[in-house]
Amino acid sequence: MKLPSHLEETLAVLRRQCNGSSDLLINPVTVGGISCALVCCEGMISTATSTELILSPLAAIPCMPDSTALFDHIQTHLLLSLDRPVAREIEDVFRLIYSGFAVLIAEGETKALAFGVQGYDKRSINEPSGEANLLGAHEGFSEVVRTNMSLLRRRMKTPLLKLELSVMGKLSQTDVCLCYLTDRVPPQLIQQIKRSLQSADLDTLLAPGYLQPFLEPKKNRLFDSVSTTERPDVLCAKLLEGRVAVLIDGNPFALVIPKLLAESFQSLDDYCFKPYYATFIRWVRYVGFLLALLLPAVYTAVCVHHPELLNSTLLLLLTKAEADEPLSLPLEAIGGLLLFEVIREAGLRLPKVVGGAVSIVGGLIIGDAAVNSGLISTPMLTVIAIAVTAGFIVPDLNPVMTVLRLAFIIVGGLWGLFGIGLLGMAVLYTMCGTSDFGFPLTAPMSPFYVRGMRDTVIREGFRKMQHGNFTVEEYHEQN
Amino acid sequence: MNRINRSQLFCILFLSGMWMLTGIQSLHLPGLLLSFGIQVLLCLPMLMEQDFTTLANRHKWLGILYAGYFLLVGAQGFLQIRDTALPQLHAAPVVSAVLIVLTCLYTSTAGLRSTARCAVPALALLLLSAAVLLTGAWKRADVSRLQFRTEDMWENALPGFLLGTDLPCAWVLLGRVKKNGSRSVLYYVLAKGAAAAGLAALCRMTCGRLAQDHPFLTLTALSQPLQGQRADALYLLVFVMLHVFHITLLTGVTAHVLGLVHPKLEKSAPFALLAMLLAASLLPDAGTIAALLMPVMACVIPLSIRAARSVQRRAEA
Repeated sequence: MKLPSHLEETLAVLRRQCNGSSDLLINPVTVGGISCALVCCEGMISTATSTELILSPLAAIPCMPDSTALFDHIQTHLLLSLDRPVAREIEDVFRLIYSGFAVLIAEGETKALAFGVQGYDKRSINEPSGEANLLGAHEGFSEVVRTNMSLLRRRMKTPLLKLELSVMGKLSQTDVCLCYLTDRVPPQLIQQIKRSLQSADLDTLLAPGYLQPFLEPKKNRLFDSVSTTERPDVLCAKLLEGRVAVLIDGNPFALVIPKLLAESFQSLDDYCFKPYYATFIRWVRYVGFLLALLLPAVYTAVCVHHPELLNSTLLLLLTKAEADEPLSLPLEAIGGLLLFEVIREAGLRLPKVVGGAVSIVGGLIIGDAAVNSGLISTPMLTVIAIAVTAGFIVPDLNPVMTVLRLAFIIVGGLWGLFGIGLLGMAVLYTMCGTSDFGFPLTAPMSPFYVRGMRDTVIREGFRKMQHGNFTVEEYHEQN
Repeated sequence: MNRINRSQLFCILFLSGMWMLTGIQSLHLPGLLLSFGIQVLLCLPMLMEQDFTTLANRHKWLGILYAGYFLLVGAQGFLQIRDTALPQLHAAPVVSAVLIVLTCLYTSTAGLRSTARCAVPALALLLLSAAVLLTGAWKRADVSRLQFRTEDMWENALPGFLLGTDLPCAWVLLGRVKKNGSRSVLYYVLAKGAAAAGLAALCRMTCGRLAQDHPFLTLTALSQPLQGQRADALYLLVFVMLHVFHITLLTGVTAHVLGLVHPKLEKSAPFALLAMLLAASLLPDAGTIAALLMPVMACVIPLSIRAARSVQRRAEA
């Protein structure tokens, strides 16, 4: 809807549309002899900044013949703020007001001037809780998209870094920023992502999970093909490899497209350590992933169906430990893992002070009591503990691991290694079949790219890695 | 059309070939090499054509013939696993069969490209198992047992024909390779020949006369990497995984070939699997198909290509 030319009519429309919302502040004022109104949202602007930068200069404007001359004077002679959009539609006025702008509306004018004087409370830049590292920067994204954009820009002072702001969500009108390096990103990838974002017909956009399904075209996926990060340095590294990121206002996580499975096993510290140690740590992660996924299932399958695989000492030890257990091995494993998930969820949702106590009660008291009472055997508890701890090494894959671990235990308990093999094949096919925007999730392992091995199987030194700019386009497969 | 690269072509053919090799009923080195050599020669014209898609688009009967052939090879695979692995599994044979079919049904929906991508990690797993097998077999190997008689070479050549049943599959897949994939097929033929010869020799050295019946399974039963522990279950696991891979590949290739006959049949992989099962239930046993049908088909198909090509040339003239 166009902005009416009469001030009273405009203000009436604003009042009507906001239904008397208490936070909308309409301040009638005369500027340069013209009737105006300065409209803003309470709590979204800085009172001190608006008084100093807007109200004082506006009060000092001499008399103007009409509103057009007034707006022309403000736009050409005064620099009230750096961010000065012009709104011609009522919807734009509301969006700007609720984004922390002070909007000046004048009698006889069909446009409104907006001044960026945002001053809402926000969380300061902290170290990311989910992606800790030893030697890298300790800055993480915050909830404000513009702050996050500045964090990126501080690390990439090049005009090639393009930050495209747009608005999504019919009700939330959330700012969404598309970030990419123009010389690195495959042009068709940008076009496809823009199309995908346009297809998202959302009312609100409160978390990355709202947008992620629209960036993963195929439904019911086991593995994510969009990764997230809350570290600006990690995001810069990904942008350098030709990826595209989506920053969402109100959320400290950036969505990164495309995702490769190998990325889940990489961390920023790998590039700070010596290559031999980084390679070793990376292999620890691969082994950790396999242990987390398969150890309880293989243990159950071997003990129940294939005891001939164990040596006599181990077999006797396990037989003795399991002899007095009331539950079967698969039930023990499933029960133990479910118990862990309950304790983990309780620790996560409760306030931090109580969460710690829950961990102590769950980990020490229940675990110890369960073994002492004979409900669960010590070897099984050890196996579960190893698997769960190993799962923490690759937090990115934790949701998949949690579900698949239970599924593997069930098939391993029922049909032994045969069942595990069949489920393994199904999972392998699912993993290999995951590919969005033409980028296979399993690259560079499969399809196999020798050049990709220098940061997958090993971590080469930067002297070698600097040769030949790598971009993900190398892994792109045409349909 | 989804494309695959040359290394993936090599991997999928090699894995499929290894399934044939591990399930073979007898391995007699001279007979095996003889039959394999003959079959490669028969398939050379086919492999040099490199244009199955065009040919099958013009001659629909060729597509149907190939689809029928792949269905029979798949049926033979099902009968092979029924006779060898199912009795050794811990689940009831019916349950095991149902589980295998369900897995194949799921994987067959993934498509040929997923199969190609899956081939690389599967090959890594296979090589790892081969290393374990070799470690165990080497301790029991005795070179003095390595004596081959050439008298019954022709008799023993028949089972060796089984090793060539995937060459038509190679030709169909060549049309889906990004660049010229003939070299991959050549490497595959050489690698499979070497693997077959190596396995035959290893079986003979490790198992002696016991290797006459189901040599691979006998080898796995006799070669244990650790004293006092048996690793049969691990080999069985690899055996079943190879079977799933082999069947998935065949269903994918069958669907692709049927898609050339009629585009609506391109997504018919699950139905191809069911047809394989039906064929397996109607046919008596794997040995009969292997001994009679496969060698004939392996010869008929290359000749049919020549016939189709000559009809085409005559029509063009």
